[in-house]
Amino acid sequence: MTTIKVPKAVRDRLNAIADERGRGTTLAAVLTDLLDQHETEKTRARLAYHEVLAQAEEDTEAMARAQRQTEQAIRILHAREAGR
Amino acid sequence: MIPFGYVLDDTVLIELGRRDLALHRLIVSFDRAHVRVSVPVITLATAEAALSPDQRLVLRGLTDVLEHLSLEPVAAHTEAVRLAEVTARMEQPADMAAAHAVAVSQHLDWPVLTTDAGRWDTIKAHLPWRVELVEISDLG
Repeated sequence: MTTIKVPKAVRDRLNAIADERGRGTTLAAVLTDLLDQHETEKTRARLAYHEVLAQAEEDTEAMARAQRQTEQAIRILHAREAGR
Repeated sequence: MIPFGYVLDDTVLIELGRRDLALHRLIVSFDRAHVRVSVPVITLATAEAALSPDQRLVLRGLTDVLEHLSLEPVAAHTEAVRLAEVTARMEQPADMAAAHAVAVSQHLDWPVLTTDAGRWDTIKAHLPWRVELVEISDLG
């Protein structure tokens, strides 16, 4: 076990959640739940993005076009630098 | 890693949230080619406000996954000052999504990547300096 310093307002919010969950709920349990929720949300976001990406990558010709656009974008950046 | 890159504006972020596959291909292709992209958080917040929760999730996943994408916060006084300098010169009420993109573009000295250069016409007309834009259609 260790201690962490948090602003009073944060402690009060954590206490309010612990109170809602009933007697015996510790702040550690509240924090663990919040961290779990954060991880779940992050995983959902990553999955949502990977799903879109998988769809995007199905079209190999369009991916090749994106690579050509990227090469042009890089040329633009290099030209800016060279012009200074 | 290329030492410079592009600042994404709200038009790009909104279309990424809306699952524009061509734009997703381009941005992931940037990332794989080590082209850096910067996302100003106020621009991101404005874009997210125009999106549904599911669309926001895509955008959050993208900002989390891409290796060469960085979020630009307004966390320190210097960043607030840079933003204020741009905002003060804009037509009021200021377009904060554009203001933060301009502030980050000037600070990093990177151009703004947009899907619609016309979105910037009014902004450019009021700012005393050049806003460097690259429209995605210019990339071929």
